[in-house]
Parts: sequence; structure tokens; C-alpha cells
Amino acid sequence: MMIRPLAQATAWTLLLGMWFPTFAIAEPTHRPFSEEIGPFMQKNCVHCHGPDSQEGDFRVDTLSEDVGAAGSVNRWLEVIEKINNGEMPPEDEPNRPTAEQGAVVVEWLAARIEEGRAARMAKRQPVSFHRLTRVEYANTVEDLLGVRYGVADPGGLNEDAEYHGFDRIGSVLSLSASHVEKYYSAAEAILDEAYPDKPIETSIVRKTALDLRGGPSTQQRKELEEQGLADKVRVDMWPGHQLQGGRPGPGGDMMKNGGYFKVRLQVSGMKPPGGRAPHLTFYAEKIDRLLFEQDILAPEDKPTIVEFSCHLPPGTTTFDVTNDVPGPSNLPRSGRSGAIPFFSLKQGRIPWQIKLTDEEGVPLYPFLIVDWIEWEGPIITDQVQAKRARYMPTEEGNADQLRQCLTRFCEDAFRRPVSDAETQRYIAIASQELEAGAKLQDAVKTAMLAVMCSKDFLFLVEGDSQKPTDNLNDFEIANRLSYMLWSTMPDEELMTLAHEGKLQDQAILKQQLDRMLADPRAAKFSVEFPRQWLQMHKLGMFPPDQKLYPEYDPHLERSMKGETSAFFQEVLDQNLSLREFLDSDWTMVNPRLAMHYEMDGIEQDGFQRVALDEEDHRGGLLTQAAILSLTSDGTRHRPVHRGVWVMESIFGKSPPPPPANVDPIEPNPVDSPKATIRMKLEAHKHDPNCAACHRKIDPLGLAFDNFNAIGQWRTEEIVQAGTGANPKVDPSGVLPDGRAFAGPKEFRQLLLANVDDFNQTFIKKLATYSLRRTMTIDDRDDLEAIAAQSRADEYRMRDLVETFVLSDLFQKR
Amino acid sequence: MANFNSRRWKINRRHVLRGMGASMALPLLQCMAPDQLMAEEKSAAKEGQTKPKRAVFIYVPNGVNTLTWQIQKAGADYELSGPMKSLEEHRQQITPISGLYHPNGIGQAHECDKIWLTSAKISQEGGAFRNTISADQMMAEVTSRHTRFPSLELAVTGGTLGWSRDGIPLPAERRPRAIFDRLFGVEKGGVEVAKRKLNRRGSVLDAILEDANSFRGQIGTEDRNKLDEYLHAVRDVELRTQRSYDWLEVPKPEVAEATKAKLTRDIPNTEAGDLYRTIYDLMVLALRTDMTRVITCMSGSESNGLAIPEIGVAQSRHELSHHNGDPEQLRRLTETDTFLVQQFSYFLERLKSYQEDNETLLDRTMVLFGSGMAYGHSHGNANLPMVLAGGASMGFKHGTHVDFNLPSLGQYNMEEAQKHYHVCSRPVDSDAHLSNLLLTMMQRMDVKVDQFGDSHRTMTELLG
Repeated sequence: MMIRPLAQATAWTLLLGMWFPTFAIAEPTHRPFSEEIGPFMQKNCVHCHGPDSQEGDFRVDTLSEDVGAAGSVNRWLEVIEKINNGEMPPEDEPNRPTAEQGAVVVEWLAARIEEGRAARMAKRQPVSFHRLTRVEYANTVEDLLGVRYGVADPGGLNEDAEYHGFDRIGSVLSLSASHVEKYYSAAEAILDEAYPDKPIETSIVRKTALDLRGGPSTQQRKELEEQGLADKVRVDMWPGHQLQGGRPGPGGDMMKNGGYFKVRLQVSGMKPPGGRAPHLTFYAEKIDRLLFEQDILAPEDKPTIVEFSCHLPPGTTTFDVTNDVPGPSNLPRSGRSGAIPFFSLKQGRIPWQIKLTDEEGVPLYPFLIVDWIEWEGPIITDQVQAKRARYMPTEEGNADQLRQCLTRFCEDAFRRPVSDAETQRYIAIASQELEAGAKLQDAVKTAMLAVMCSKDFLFLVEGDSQKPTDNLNDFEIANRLSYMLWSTMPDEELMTLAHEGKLQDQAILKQQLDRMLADPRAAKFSVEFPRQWLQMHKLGMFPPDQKLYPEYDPHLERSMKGETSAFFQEVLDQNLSLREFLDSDWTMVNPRLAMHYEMDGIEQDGFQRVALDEEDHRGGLLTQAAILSLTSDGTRHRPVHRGVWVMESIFGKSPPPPPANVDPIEPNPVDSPKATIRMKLEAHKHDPNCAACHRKIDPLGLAFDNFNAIGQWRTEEIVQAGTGANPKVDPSGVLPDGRAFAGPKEFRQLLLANVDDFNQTFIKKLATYSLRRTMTIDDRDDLEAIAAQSRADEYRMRDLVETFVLSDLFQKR
Repeated sequence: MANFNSRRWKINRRHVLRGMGASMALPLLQCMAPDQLMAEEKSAAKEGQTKPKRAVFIYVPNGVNTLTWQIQKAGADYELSGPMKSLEEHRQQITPISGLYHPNGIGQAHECDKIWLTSAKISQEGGAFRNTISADQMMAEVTSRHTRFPSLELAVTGGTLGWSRDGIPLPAERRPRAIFDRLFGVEKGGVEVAKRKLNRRGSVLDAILEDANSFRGQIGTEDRNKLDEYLHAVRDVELRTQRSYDWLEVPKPEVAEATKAKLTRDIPNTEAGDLYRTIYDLMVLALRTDMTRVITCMSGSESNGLAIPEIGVAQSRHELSHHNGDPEQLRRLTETDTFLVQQFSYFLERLKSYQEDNETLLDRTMVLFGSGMAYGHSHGNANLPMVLAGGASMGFKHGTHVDFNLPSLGQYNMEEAQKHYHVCSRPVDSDAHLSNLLLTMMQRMDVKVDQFGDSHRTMTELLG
């Protein structure tokens, strides 16, 4: 148990009131019902809603004191509603309680209800079933059979439900007939690719510039060949230009079965001085997938070759290859080469076309020049081939071999040992199919199909129906660890250790953790965990208005996401303190984001660590563009949303829901002076029912009013309607405990004093992510122990992850 | 391999186990020639003599520009407001309704689509929220015995309106081709190949069901939620499989090549009108070929409903709904409202153009068009925009504007926007529950219920 400086604890107890006090370590447990609620009800409610009178058929004196319990929760919610919106006690009632008194009751009740909800969600059953998310499904299938199924493609798997940002909470992930049908179709497609009726040989197809650019007729082409110029022709790509002539795709039979393909392009990319680099995107239209993107920097006479791999489903799809940057119109009139073969920027343009370069031959716009695109595939590595072969019998009529193969498949797919009785069910399917005259491979595929639709494949199953236990067995540990760090099934080494019963040995577990974090698959952790913890799914949910934010584009949105993941990864890899999330003097940017942040000198694509100084106005998570955008809507920043986000993500507390029936915030009348959102919110605060909560939430968001809806720094708020000048931003504030701040910088420094609160939140979020359930009061001691150790380790993240994995909490159900 | 008959037996056994009592009713198609009817169907033919009853629900995301939407006068001599003008030609087949709301929807932001047809209480945080069954699904339970598909869940963009008995969302199909293929797609290789595939599916489902069931037996009775959810889902697929099997011998209606080509195009979202009309065409086709009798359609996502370039609107509906009082944004919002009603009007026109016996398809189809939001800018969820159309053959009487606000309001004050926004944020008549309308519609579809959600009466004013 750690000891925390009292002053600090008191400050935050005041600030955050009593919301969700479950994990506030130094806080006393909440006051009992009999002190906090009973007297209030007795004084204000019971005479109309009690034994003598039941107005509105509502009695409060008979409601259970166990506020969060399933039986009474709905009625208590009604009580909250009525007090919250000032409806009860009615206005004509003498001695009405003050709004503050009402707020205390509301907060107490809301906290109990939240606890009750968390407890119900986390309720441990003798055997628990946590469905794989669709991301995990895709990763698992890829590891199992070497097929990357497009779960998010049109007609793929259904989207997963999300709870406070987490999309892997077992009790939230539901399953309907439509899910089962989609799993069935997915498994059919996956097995057909892994075991095709007619395998396709790997081949290489190259599309030359003449194939790609369109334009030259057969006659012109012949002439070019005769002149020996055919291989000198290149494709010029202006900003926004898509390859239009010829298909950049491979075509033919190559894609008939789907599979992995390698794509290579030879390309030059020129960046105008002071401008942005050309940005190549490779998009598969039918499946709506961005396959590849990169800034290209290579001189015109020294093209580079870029290569990437992708997995494509069977059948044809069309591809858009684009120079995805804004620029002047690329209509032929403005300069594109059109029907005339293009060789070089330096060659004269048609007089009426605009210039491509300045007098020195330096390009004026970000140009891409493509020489060729090459496709290789479908590629089946020896490793994948061997994997698939393990499950597919080769001899007709060899029952032993059939059994061995299917047993292997069941073990791998279920990620645990299987009994004979279990496998028998699937062997029987294959046998039936064989009896009915099916070919061996088809019969086995049908059995595998059943395995892939069975509960043991689709769910992470924990617990033992025969002997209920709190501790995970070795295989459950292997799965939990693997899905936490890699978002996929355990690999062979983990499974071997599980078979040997060694994963409960702390030294071995630690050694495995080190190994797994060093593995490239661990990148998934730095993407998936922050995405869920920080509610990144909201980024781009309300796409910014193109008129207000013309610079916002998908590339910027992906770059925003990238910063937050890369930042997380850096903290993890370098074993930095959690403090860095609250305030840091560095961040991670790529060239696109650097432009957004108005930073110079970032040329090479990819995320890189940059030092931040005063003028950058940034540091920590809260000033990252992703966070500032996801707490805004399409048109404006939302200080209250930002405040709630800080409460949830940094302090792990959920403010009570706003009362229904709040009078709308009036739109700014066109003929009145321009007002910031803050000014309008202030007006709202005059309503004491609103003010009680908002004075706790709003300062946390208003501190970032210097950042607009897409996270750009500003000192004035641009207001569309109204008269006069745009008003100045006021990012100052006072926390309810009296600590004042002038702006985001000071606010971040104030936050650093609360690193312990953040430490607890982080651990709770990590546990929620890894254990796939909400944390309850029962987990309190375990969480506290981890928090204390983290504090002793100066909140270093890598150490913290280790403490967590080696903790009782991680190894218990 | 299991054959047709043994599979049928299994299904019947499961029906009993599920407590459904009756065995699967047999397929019956209005368009089928008598000699196509299988012998067994004749016994069910009696039921076929009753007129088919159909229901369609279309959701409008983000509410409307309530200032231009509101019809001013109640009764028969009302004047359609600007955005609704295109409904004039259907005046005798529609009833605009003002003043309805979901008590549980008040103050909801982007969840109000989820409870539009359920009226459930939703948690503010979303996520762990468990919905209740939606009205359309209760209707489908009644009509499903007649059709190849119990119901269709569609969306132009966005999620679903349909929720199962377990309160689980029934994901919606979005792409025209996917919808068409699901309805009319014919297996390559004909009936024999289709049978083989269904048999294969049958044995797979059998195995995973047995596996899950035997496991279920081991884990005692308390809390088997997730496993039971899985079992229900697999059983539902088995029923669907059986249904497909039952309908195998019944040829799917033939769709003319030209129609098929038109309805399976890959239409980009930027061609909004084309996309809407194609989805509506598919719905009409599904209804008139009796592939299903219950359809829900989410006409646009709440977060990112389509921009409509063809009328010069580049923003999503969500952006427009947060207009901040800007007259230009409000004008555009009205434009998109007008556009959505025009597409709806097209749908009604198509339904009217088909005859069944002496009635139009619209007479036999009740259609509810509306939103769970009224004043989107500040999330006002009272006075929901709502138009009921069709269903005359089921007793609906149209031609008037039914208004629950005016009796106590006297008249609308449109001069002061705030006054009207207030009407759209807090119910004027607290008894005007939308669930009353849903209940009325359900009863007209022969769903045997006296109550649905927070309903407290049947809306007899809509009935002849």
C-alpha cells in the first residue's frame, strides 16, 4: 500500500467530488447510504413518495439501499433524473434543497449505479466466453492458415460494439445469426484460399509506363518502339492525379484465388522548395482498402523502387494509384502531358500549359513520375505451405492420418489441448462427407469449417466447468498474454511452454514477456491499447467540415492516429515515465503532421521523435491533434467533451450523465456580436443545476481552447455567425480546489502533480484491455498493489507492464 | 450425408425444443402458379387467402430543419410544409404526425436511432446497453411463415434499426449488389449444388450446436449468457438454412436482366439520389415478389449521413444539423430534408404503381418515415418528424395531419425560433408516445400484443 501526500489527495478529492471513487486509492470509501442519501430522502421526498402518499405511483422509501443492484437501478435512475433537472422536489415545495445538495446526492447515486453496472458486467461465470474482436479474428486466422481475411471489407465481419472505447469487453460483444453467417462465409473463403481446388503458380507481371499512362495509340506506341524510346516514357503525376490509363492491377488469373502479393514501383518524387512531398497512395477500390502510402523523395534522374506486400481476396479489383496531395488543377490544360508521351519535367511544355519547373529546373509542385509497377504473386512462403500441410491429410482412406491432421487443427485453432471426444465430432463430419462421395480435401475442409465456426475458436474461453477455479491455467495465460501484446493467438514457443506447464513460473513468464515485446507483432499493442483506452475510434467519426477546415484530409487523420501510437510505443520502448503522457518536451511526427504543427525540417516519411519548445505549444497526450480532434465535432471544438475525455482517460472517472431535457444552447444569432463557445457555456452555467457538475468538467476542457477542432494552435476563435471581430480565446481557468491556470501549458504542469491518479487510471485501463472485463471493487487490492509498485519504479511504463503481467490480477480470472 | 428429409426432421424437433410449437410453415408465393405448389402447401393455402400485410420503416438521421418542416394546421385541410411538398400527390395515402416522442429518447444524442423502433431505455455511455426487441421484428415473427426471408434490414449508410428478441442488433446490408444477391441470387450449378451446400452447412451447424449444447450441460444453469447467445445465433442460422432448403424447390422470381443490371450497379455515395432510389427500388421489388413483408431501412448514418452533391450540398447531414443558427446551413438542411422526402415520395409512388387484386401495393404496405431526433443542433428529441403512409387495406385512414401539440399550444410560433426549438426539445403532450403508434402498427400486422414499450393506448385516430 502506498502512501500519498495528503494535500494532493485532498485537492483532487475536492476537484473530482465523489464520482466513481472505487479506485481512488487514498480516498476513504464513500459515505454510507444512511448518511448521504437517507436523510435527504426523508426530508425532501418521502412525504409525497412514501407510505402516506405515492404521487406519480412512485415510492422512494421502499427502494433498495443497494442502489446499483439490478432490481432497483432503474428507479434510482429516475430519481437522479428528477433531481438533476430540478423537477423534484417541485418548485412550490418549501425548503427546497440547494442545487449543491442535490448534486451531492446525484453524484453519490450515480457512482453507486456505475459500480453496480461494472460489477454486473464483470461478473465471473464458472466459464467465461470472450469473443474475439474482428481485428483479433483476422490476426488469428492469418497465424493459423496464412490467409489475411478482409474483416472490414464490404461484406466482411460485423463491427464490434464498443464500451468506453474498449471493443474487446466480453460481456459487450454480442453475437447474432448474422455474425454466424458471416463467420461461416469467412471460413469458407479462408479455407478455399488455403486449400484451392486449382493452385495458381506464382508469376510476375510488369506494367510499363506505356501500359499505365494511357494515351498513345497502338500506332504511336509502335513508333516509340521503333525510335527506341518506348522504355524512356514515364508517367507524370500531378498533385491529385490518379493513374487513369491502363489498369495498375495485375489482371488475368493471377488473382483468381486471392493471396499475398508483392507490389514494386519505380518512381521519382520531387518536392518543391518549402512545399510538401508528393504522396503516393495505393488504394483497392472494391474492398475499400488503402494498401500502401508513402511520401516519395527521389530525384527525377534517380528514381527509387518502393515495395510493399498486400493480401487481396479472390477476384478482380480495381486500384487507384494517386499522388495524394493538393495542388493546382491537373486537367490537361494546366500542364499534364495528356496524349503526348512524357519523358521529363525539363522538356518544354506546350506553350499554353503552366510551367512545371522554375528557370533552374526545380519543380514547382510535388510531382510523382512513375516508370513501372510490378506485381508478384500469389506468394505462398514455405513456412505457410508447411503450416497448411500439417492439417491436410494426403492419403485417401488413412483414418489415422485424418485423425492426426484434424486433431492438430483443433489444438491450434482452439489454442489449447483437445480431448478425443471433442475432435471426434469434427472427424465425423469429414467421414460423413467422404461417405457421401466428397473428395478428401473437400471433406476435411468441411470439418475445418466447423472448427472455425465453433465456440472454442471464436471465443477465448476461460474457466473449468468441472472444478471452478480463480487461477488461469497455462494455456489461458498464454492466450491472455498473446492477445494482450499481439492481438493474436499464442505462437509455438508459448504453446510449448504451456504444454510443459511452465508459464506459471514467474521467471519464465518474464522472459516470455521480454521476448514478445521485442517481436514485431508487439506493434499491435501500441496501436490497439491506446486506440481503445483513449477512445480513438471517435477520431474522424464526425469528419471536419471541408469548408471550415480545407486542410483536413485522410492522410492527416491517419498521421494524427500515428502520432498517438508512436508516442505510446516510444514511452514503452524507452521505458519512460507515465508522466510523459501528461506533459513532455518531445513528440512523434511525420512530415504531414509536422506541417500541421507548423514544424520545419521533417523530410523523411515515417514517425520520428522531435524536441518541442515553447513556441510549439505542445507536449504530452492532451495537445496531440488526434485527441483534440476526437473531442471535437465536425465544425467546432467541444470544451465539455474535452473535459469529459480528460476525466475518463486521465482520471478514470465517469461524470454523471447530463440530465435529459436541458434547454438547448442557443445558436449564436447572426446579428449579435460573435461569441466563443466558452462565452455561451458560461451563460449556461448560471443554471445552478448545470453549474454543479460543469464547474468540475469544463475547466479540464477549456484549458485547451487554444486548439481548434483539428488541433491547430490559435489565439482567436473563428466564429461563423455574428458581428464584429472574432473573439480572443480565453484558455484560463480555476479548478474547484482553487488552483488557477493561465492556459494549456500551466494546466499540464498542474496535471503532473496528479500523476498518481493517472497511474491508477492507466493500470485500470490496461487491466480492462487485457482481462476483457471492467474492473470492480473486488479488484481494488490487486490494482493498488500494482499502482504501488509502479510508483516505486517511478511510473516507468515497461516496468509497469511487467509488474502487471507478473501480478496476481493478470494470472487470475 | 444428411438428406433433405432427415434435416427437416431435425429442424422440427428443434422447433419443439425451442417451444415454438408449430412446425415451419410452408412457402407460399402470390406469384406462384398453382402447379408449382408442393402438395404440402395446399393445406396452408387457406392462410394465403388472407391479404398480405406488410410494413416498412425508414429512418431519417439527425432530425430536420424543424422551422421549415412543421405543418401549421391540424386536420384535413392542412398544407404540406415546403420540404414535404413532394408528398402532395400522395395526400390521401399519408398522415403526417406532429408531437410524438420517446420518453426514453429525450436528451439522447446519437443513440436515438437505436431506440426508434424499440423505445428502450438507453445508457448515456452506449456499449453495454442491451436493447429490447424492435417493432419490426415482432411483426416479422408473424409474417415470416409466408416468405423466404423473415425481414430485411437495410441501410443506405449507417447501422441498423432492427433488434432481435435478445436485444442484439441485426446488422444491415448496405450495398445494392449485396442486397440483390441475398434476395434473388441463384446458386451457380442449380438446385443440386445449392442442396449440397446447404447440407454441408447443415452438418457444420449440427456439429457446432451439439458441441455447444453438450458443453452447456456441463456448466450448470446460472449465467450462461454468452454461450446461450451463441446457441441462439447458431440455431437461427440453422432455421435460416432450413428455410432456404424449404424454398429451394420454389424457384426464385425471375428478375429481368435489365432490372437486375440496374439494381446491382456499384453506385458511389456521391450519386446520392441514384443510390437512394436504387435501394428503394430493391425494397419495392422485394415486397412485390413477396420475398419478405417487413423491411427496415436506415436512410443515412447519424454521424456521417450522405452529402448530396447533386443539389449542391457537400456537408454530411450531421454537420448540417449542427447549423449553429447560420441561415445558409439552415437553408441547406431544408434542401436535404426536401431531397430525402422526394426520395421517399418516389418510394411511395413505386409502391402505388403495383396492383395486387384491386389494391395497390401501398395499400397493403404500411410505411413509417421519420426520425428519433427533431432539432438536431441541440439534440432535441420531442415533436419528432413523422409520416405514416399506406396500409389502407389494414385499416389506416389517411388525409389529415394529426397534431398532438396544437390542442395545448393553440398555434405554432415560428417567428421566434427558440419557441419552436423548445417544442422540439420537450414534449408538449407528455402522453404522445411514439410507442403508441408502433403498437397500433403492430396490432394491424396481427401481432398479438396490448402493449409495447411505454405505450399506453392504441392510436384509433389513425384508423378508419
